[in-house]
Amino acid sequence: MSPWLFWPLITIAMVVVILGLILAAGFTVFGERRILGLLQNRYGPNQAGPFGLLQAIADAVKLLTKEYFLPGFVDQKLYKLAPVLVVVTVLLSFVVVPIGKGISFAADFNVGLLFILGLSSLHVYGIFLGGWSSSTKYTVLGSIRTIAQLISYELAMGVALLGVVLLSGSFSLEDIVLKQDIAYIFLQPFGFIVFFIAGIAETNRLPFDLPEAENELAAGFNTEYGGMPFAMFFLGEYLGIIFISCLTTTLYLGGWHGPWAESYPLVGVFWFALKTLALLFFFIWMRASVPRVRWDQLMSFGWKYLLPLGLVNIIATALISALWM
Amino acid sequence: MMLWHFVFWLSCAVAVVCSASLLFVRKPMHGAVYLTTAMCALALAFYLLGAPFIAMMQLILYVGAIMVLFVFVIMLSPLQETFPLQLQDRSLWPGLILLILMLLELGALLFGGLQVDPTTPQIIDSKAVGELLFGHYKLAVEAISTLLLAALVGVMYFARHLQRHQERKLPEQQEAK
Repeated sequence: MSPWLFWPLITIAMVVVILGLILAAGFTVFGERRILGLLQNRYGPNQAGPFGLLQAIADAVKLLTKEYFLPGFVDQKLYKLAPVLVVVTVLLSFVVVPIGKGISFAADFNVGLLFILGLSSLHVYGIFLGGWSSSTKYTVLGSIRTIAQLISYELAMGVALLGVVLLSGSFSLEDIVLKQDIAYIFLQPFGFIVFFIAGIAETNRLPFDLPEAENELAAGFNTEYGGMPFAMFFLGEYLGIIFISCLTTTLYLGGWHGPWAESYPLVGVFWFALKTLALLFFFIWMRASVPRVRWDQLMSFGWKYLLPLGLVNIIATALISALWM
Repeated sequence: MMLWHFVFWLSCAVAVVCSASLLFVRKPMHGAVYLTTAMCALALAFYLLGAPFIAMMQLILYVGAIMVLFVFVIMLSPLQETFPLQLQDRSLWPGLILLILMLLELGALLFGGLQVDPTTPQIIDSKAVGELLFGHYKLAVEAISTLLLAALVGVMYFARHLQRHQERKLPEQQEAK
């Protein structure tokens, strides 16, 4: 294909995918509210449209029409940069995820997995720059917690991913999916547990949502944000949840593998979406059933249990694959 | 392709401008952000030169670990002003002389026929890096890891010492209240 046709087509595809992902994030928020309602024996939002389906769009319109307000005491440039950074890095991470056989932007990128880890560290910059630039006590406390949490859990996550890389022999997500005749959750159960717990911590969800603990820190790092910038933080968080679900599906649940997925790629997309939705449900379920952990519990769990478990997992994987495979 | 030439030189320019602005910022956090941007630009340059693994390590290690620690320290320290570069300072001279020497060397390299061609790079993948690290440079890797282990043990010793010190102090403070 000539470059004059290639770049416009890619741009159109990107716009479509970004709009789709933003809609998906909106409906994840809606789904979360309905499922939480179900689990807590109440209704949840059910008035806007059939089953309340239009609630997501109503929320978006409300947030868009709010006044843009810039507090006088903030560090202006970083305050404006932070929400953009949060959303853009997550959206960029989706580029390397294969959602069907041969359906992706750049799943054969040879260092795709490392690319995701790098972007996730940039993502956290958005969160703590947002907190720091607001320069109030609550937001700075939220930011400090974010950094400490990141340092503790990013390491465990990387260590867990090494097990997958050892088995598949590649950093490219496409290769990792193609190698999974048996889903890696069966070959790497401990790696899966470590990765998923670290993933929950990375997305700041319950039981690890200390950076935005409502009853201690007002709203945590985004206390001083309102209107559209707040909506972008919100969007970034829910896109992050969707992304961690997609990544877990790709790395441990066999990606798009399933009956008839080899011959019909679109069926593969269906299997991929199904697995991702199941994980998303798990995220929401966790929110309804687990209380928030204490600060020192979070740190000691990360360093004393999660990281050693990940290291043992790597050593075991390396030994077994060297001796029997 | 022309596009990659353009991206390469753009990322180099961003890295240079960010590193230079780092010297003149007022708030330490802004300096950290400039440095982070420079690291990202460097990662891009590494990638276009045919070293994808090194590029991603630049992102993960420098941006994701080292800069995060810097930022952590900046946030925890109460000091909110820096001391931007001032040319009157005497202690600056040795550094400046070294900097000028290095720039001269760099100029000699650039104008002495060194060719950088980002379009036809020799791609060095992660496997090659791993083989070199644990083959040819095994001794260096081992030495560095021993050094880091020693640093870790040292930090733990100091932290423990500090903790005991604080525990002894706490009851007195409570009495004072």
